Amino acid sequence: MSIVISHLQKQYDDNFILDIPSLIIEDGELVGLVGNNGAGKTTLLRLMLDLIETNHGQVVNNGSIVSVSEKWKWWTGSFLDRSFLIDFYTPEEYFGFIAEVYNIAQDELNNRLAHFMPLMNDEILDRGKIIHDFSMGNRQKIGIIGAMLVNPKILVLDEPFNFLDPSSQHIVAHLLQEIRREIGTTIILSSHNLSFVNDICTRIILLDKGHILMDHFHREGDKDVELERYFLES
Amino acid sequence: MHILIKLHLQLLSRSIGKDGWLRLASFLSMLWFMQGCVIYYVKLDQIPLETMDALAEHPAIAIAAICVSAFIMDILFKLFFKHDATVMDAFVKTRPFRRDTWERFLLISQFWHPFNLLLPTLCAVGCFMLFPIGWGMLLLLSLYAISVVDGALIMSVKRGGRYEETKVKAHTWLQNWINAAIQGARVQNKYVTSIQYISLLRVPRLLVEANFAWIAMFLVVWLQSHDGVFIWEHNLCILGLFVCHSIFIGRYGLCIESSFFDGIWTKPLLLNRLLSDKYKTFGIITLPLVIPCILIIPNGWVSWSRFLAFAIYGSGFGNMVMLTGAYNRLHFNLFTKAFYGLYNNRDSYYHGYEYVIALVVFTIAIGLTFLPKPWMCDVSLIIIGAASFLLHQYYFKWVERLFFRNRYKHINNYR
Repeated sequence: MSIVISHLQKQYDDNFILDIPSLIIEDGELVGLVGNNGAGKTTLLRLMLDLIETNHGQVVNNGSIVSVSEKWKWWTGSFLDRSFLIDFYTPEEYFGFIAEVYNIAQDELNNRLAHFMPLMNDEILDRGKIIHDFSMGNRQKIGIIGAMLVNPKILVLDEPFNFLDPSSQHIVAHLLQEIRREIGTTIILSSHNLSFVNDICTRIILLDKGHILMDHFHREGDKDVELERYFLES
Repeated sequence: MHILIKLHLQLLSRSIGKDGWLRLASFLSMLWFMQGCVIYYVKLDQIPLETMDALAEHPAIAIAAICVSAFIMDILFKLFFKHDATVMDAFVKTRPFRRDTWERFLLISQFWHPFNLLLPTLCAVGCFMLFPIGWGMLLLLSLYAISVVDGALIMSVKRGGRYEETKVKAHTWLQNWINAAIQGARVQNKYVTSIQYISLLRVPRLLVEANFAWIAMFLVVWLQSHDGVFIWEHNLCILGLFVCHSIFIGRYGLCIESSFFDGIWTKPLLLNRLLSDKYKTFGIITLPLVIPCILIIPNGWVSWSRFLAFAIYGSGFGNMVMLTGAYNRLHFNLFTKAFYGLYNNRDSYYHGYEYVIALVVFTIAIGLTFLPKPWMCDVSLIIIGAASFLLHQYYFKWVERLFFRNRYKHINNYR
């Protein structure tokens, strides 16, 4: 599974928000998308998920052009923000909804949810509450679990470590590495948390004002000196 | 405390806005004027003279009886429809307000809560038309006091204890039952389908609209049928029974899904599936309205063939065409505490052409009633309705194609 981006441009009025001539993300990569606010990280993720229209170029998700076909939705899991959550559903109902859409049987759903128990920490299931009434942190957890539940081949997450306590951040980082190792999931995540990006990502892409400033492979656990220098100087 | 009260009143005033106040004033003026006309021209003539004399001789007893009835109806109404924002928002929480100050403020704010002003507002004209001024004022103040007390009581019940948890569990039980009704013993895709009716139960504004539709139509049919004579205008009531939900709720279209449309769009869930579920839901939720109406309609007031014909036409054709423009909507805050948009200045979430479509549905049906033989009308309505039932999936696939033409604009509008 790979993502191929070619001549991708997004502009509002006369401003280019994103301009990427070429980008290929190979199978099994864990790509960390970093950059300051307004760099175009979320815009790129939205373009990958066909949530906004490109002005030019296209995104191809394993041979499926995202703006033309809907096949890519079957193997792609994603969570960007709370507009992915059904606020009036309980978490059980929301996971059940996702399972139905992806044709996951109830038994299989229960097995998969068991895997996320450390992240849920007894705060999410069997609470008798709808998602709207959960804290931001727990909503974030529900969204991440919902995205990973389908065992996706491509996983897209926008700032997954936001709102999470330190323990949960570590659990999420561990789950991402695990899903990549066991299923070979290609993961693209954006984050301001350089520490986790350095720890788990195999490739780091730095965006600045819609352009790729830096794109290099990275050894998990190593500190990216070049990246740190960029953020200190900018 | 006075800071909280002042802040709350300022927020209330600002959310209504200058235009909102004008609209509210004109709405109230029109409402009271129409109430006065209805009571004077319609009801006063029909109230027996003995009753009017009794009211004049024993006003205290009459007022007491009205207050008891109002108390019961008001409590039930507020139990279902009243939702208070009782949790301090971040702005208030970061200010030095004590918890007991906040609790007292919640109670005091019931005096100007719009739900609590509803009962006295609706009854104001009647109070003074049925009683002398002094007694009318007493009745009005009593109704206001009852409304405030009910409001505080319901707020306390919902705030404390396990009310929300019990409600969610009750909805889950209902969800299983409704899904079984829709799909038979082998229930599939219950969570996808139940988006449509669980939203009606848990989204306060939709609950108000759904139940308003029920109550309004029930009252209309009851009032129109009680004199036993069926005239052609009564066809509108019967048809209204079967399309009221697609008009009241259907006008929201994909407003309901707008809050989580990004989550739907990135999953392999087709839009025509959502529309089809809405269509079936409108049919199902009409049943609790239709069954009581069948019980209250006098025998022979409307022929069973006409009733059935409108049932099939309304549920099949009417509900289907009302969803034609369902995708063309704006973002809708699901958990707004607005009551009929009085708290919300923004433009309508939907467009006026839904009412044009409703007009077309009614016009076709009423036009057919003028066919030379009644059975011709009934058969035509049944054919249109049945054909719509059979072909609705193709219709919604066509609507889906309309959505695709400008899907990015629509998805952007949903945010």
